[in-house]
Amino acid sequence: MGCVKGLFNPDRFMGTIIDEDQALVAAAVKGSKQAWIDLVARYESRIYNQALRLTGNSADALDLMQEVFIGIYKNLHRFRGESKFSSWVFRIVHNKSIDLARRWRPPVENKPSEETDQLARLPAVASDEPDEQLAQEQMNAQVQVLLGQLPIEQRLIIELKLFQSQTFEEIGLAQDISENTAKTRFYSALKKLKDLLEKNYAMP
Amino acid sequence: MQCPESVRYLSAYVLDELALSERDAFENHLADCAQCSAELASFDSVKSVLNSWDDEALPASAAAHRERIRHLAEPLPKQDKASRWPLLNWWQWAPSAVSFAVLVLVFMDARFLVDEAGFSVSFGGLKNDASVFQMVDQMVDREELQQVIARLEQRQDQNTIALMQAVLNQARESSEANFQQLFAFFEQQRLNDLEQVRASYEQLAESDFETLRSLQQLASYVSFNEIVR
Repeated sequence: MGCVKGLFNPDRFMGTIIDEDQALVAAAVKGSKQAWIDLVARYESRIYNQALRLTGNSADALDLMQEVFIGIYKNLHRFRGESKFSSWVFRIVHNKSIDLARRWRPPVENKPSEETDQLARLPAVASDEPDEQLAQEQMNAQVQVLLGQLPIEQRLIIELKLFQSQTFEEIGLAQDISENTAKTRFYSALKKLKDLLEKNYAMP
Repeated sequence: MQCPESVRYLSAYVLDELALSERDAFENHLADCAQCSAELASFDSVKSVLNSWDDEALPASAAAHRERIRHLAEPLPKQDKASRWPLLNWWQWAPSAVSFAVLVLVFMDARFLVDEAGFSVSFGGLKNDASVFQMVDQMVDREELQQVIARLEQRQDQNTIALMQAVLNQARESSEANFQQLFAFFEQQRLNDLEQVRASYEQLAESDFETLRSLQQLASYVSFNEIVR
């Protein structure tokens, strides 16, 4: 039993290669195509998965990933190495995902019946699937559907707190909100996810 | 009905906000309260569902996106340069420059005059000069001003006279000194002349004496020869 903490921390393993990131950034700014390709290879999977959690589907996630890389590329000369490159990149993911959410999906009234329908279509337990990869994709799909029920601000705060293990102070700074607002928003998001899951499992 | 302990402590517990003693107390409560432990289990199930996420590889459809992203690097130096010097091309800054120049000319009231001698550029308006002359004329017309000018002229005359007197005094003093010097010089000159005259007389007397002696010698010689003959 315990409180909800970081599920996994992508930067946990990155401590030794931050300098390598900065070296690649410096080389790419000077015009090295290979450095840019290496930088893309290093970050594309991470950005794609963040985008998948934030958009809820593969096509949008790829578009978001592409926009993020365009944003990274255009602003690369502004990266001064004052923060971790991964944090700097996520700030772009953050801004682009908000842009996309507002452009493509104007906020609509949440309809509980649709939410439960979407969840009901997913298998509640996926471990009995023969294909391990398919099972994993279905688990991921369940996460996507769940997160998809949240407004983009709550989705981002779940992403930052649970998937990137940021502190509320860091989240407050990143989202330009107070620490207490970040906590309240996070708890509301968790509570909403809990309610959605309970509804899903309560269905016959 | 919700357990009051749940309302008070559950969110803080989930957010890891409780002090150690409060945390222990709430965990004791959880052991006894089915409602709170069920509530917490629901939060844990949310956690476990989200925790089930495993990073996916990019799908096959990502090839086109990946290619576009890699090709971003092609014009990187060029774009970087352009972003640093956004007004590098003349057709981008020329209109602004012309507008600025026209603005400056209008504000400085510039005039171009062309005549047979060539052309000239002047800044500032004629109206300014005219107004200055008009103002001076008005001032001259005033009687008070005339009086002031008269007094000024009178004082100026007095000053001039005093100055001239001073000049004359100085000239007189200097002339006096000069006369004395001249007198001394003439006196000296006169004494020198007297001395010279005296010396000449002496010389003359001496030569006369010699002449006289020569005559005497001649006379004696003649007389001697006459005696011999």
